[in-house]
Amino acid sequence: MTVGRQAWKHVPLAAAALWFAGPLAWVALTSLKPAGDILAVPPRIWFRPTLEWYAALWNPQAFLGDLRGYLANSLVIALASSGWATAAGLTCGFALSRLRFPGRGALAWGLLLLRMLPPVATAVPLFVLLRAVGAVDTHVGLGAVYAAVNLPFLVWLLKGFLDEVPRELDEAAWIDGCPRWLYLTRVLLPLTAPGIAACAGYSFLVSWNEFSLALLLTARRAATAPVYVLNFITDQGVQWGPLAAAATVLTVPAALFVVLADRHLRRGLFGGAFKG
Amino acid sequence: MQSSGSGLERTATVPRGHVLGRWVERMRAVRRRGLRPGVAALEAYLWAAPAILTAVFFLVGPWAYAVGLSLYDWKALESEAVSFVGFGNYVALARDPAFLHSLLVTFGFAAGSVTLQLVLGTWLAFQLYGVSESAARIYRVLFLIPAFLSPPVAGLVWRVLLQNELGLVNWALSALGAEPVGWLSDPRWALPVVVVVDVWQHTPFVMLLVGAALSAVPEDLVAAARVDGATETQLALRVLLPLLTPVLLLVAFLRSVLALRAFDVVYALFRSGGPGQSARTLGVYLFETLRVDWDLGRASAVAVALLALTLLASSWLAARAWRGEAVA
Repeated sequence: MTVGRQAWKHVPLAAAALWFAGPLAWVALTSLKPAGDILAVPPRIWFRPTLEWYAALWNPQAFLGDLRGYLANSLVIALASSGWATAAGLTCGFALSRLRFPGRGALAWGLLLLRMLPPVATAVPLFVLLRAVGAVDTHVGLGAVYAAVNLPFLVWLLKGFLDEVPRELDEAAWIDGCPRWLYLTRVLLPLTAPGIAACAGYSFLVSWNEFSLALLLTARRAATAPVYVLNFITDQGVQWGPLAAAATVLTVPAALFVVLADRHLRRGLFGGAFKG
Repeated sequence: MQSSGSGLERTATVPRGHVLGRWVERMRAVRRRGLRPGVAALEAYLWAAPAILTAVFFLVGPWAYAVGLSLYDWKALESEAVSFVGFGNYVALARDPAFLHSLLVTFGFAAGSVTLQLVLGTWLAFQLYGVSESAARIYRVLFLIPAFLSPPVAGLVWRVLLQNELGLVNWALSALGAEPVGWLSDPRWALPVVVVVDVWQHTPFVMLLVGAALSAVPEDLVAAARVDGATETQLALRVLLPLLTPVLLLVAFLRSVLALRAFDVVYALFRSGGPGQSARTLGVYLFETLRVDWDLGRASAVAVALLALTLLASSWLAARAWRGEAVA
């Protein structure tokens, strides 16, 4: 195989990389431009970079700017819901992977079915229910919904990781009288830790990104960053600088996940991912 | 699990036939079979309880409640009065041209975006298959970032690019001598733009699943085809693609089910159903019924319609994709 022939293979791939990452790079570039350069025609590649838009996101005085509260909401809700979903998913995945019991198949397929159905169809009843208990626009309300949205897919993922640990280990431990919870925390957990971390990261990302339910179930107090960024588009015009900066900040977790979880992504994991 | 394969059985030192040996055997049998069936089931369901309860409370319960609500007339903006209307909401939906139009838009969107995603994603997977793993890794990262992006962020990114007068795309068009296009204001372009953004975001998922299936194809098979004189194109179309059919069906099914509920991309781009409502999908219709009209009964009926559509698509395609193939 000659070098030239190898290089030729990269032409379509480089074009695809430009198509996928180019728009993000352009927005990141826009977020660094001073006001006069953002809307310049023709578009400017060379300019004096500024961090003023990022500073505005952190500035309570900025017009529409202050993103901190919404980022904090996103962070709290995503951490709590992914923590709960991972813990509950792990114990359920453990039961499905390691224990034999009547209704096991039905439970697995039921979860698969839940994974297919659109969470947004829960919006009306959840709105009514949460309003009845005063939990509309609260962190707990949205966090609990996110945990539930995450669970069905997460149980399947976690079961998959647990299945990779040989069953001989179960028998050895259980005949020695090792309690199940000790076996899970001391044996299975360390053996599958990277996979579980990837699942938790994925679950965090789903909650971090979720938009439809956040839009419908929150107003101000618990509104998340994805809901808030749309406010940069006003009737008077679009705040391009803050918008580009906020979009870039919100992209960071996705980029981190893609880099860190590459090993799992290569195996096709998360390919069947379902977003809210 | 065969007991003879267990390491423990082989290392046991109790002589065969010894009374202690028989006791150990019996204990192992109990352990292997597990606890008594009733106790074992109870234990298993205790382990699964947190997940089951969370899902029942926040998914299954609300869905069931939506079915019930859809039989009532409840316009929250006018009053808190709720009255039973039977299938009245469904009849009203069936007579609402806007609802029927939103169904049409949804199907058009799903067909367009899923087809493009499948073709592009499969093509990308084949391209990645041909380069070294270290290069593929870099490409994978670049391709996949949009896939894990929040929909509003994706919408905003494309709003920056597609601005009517000052956007990069229109500037490029005019630099090439073409007329600038009102991507976000022309009713004819609204739905295609939504499809493009969706393809941009979700093609990498197709690439992931197809790519994983490709790398699972035995190397002997590929080598044998090459020895037999197959060209690269023949190899891809005649050998590999038929092997990928089950995965492709599965991906088509997964993406279609997702496309049916499309809401966030449209809303992020237009904050409505788009110019002239030309991109008002079922999801947007649901949102507007709930948040603009505050018609909770009818919104529930739309939600139930969405659930029914999803179930229909699931059962039909799932049966085909799962015939003999495991689920991804």
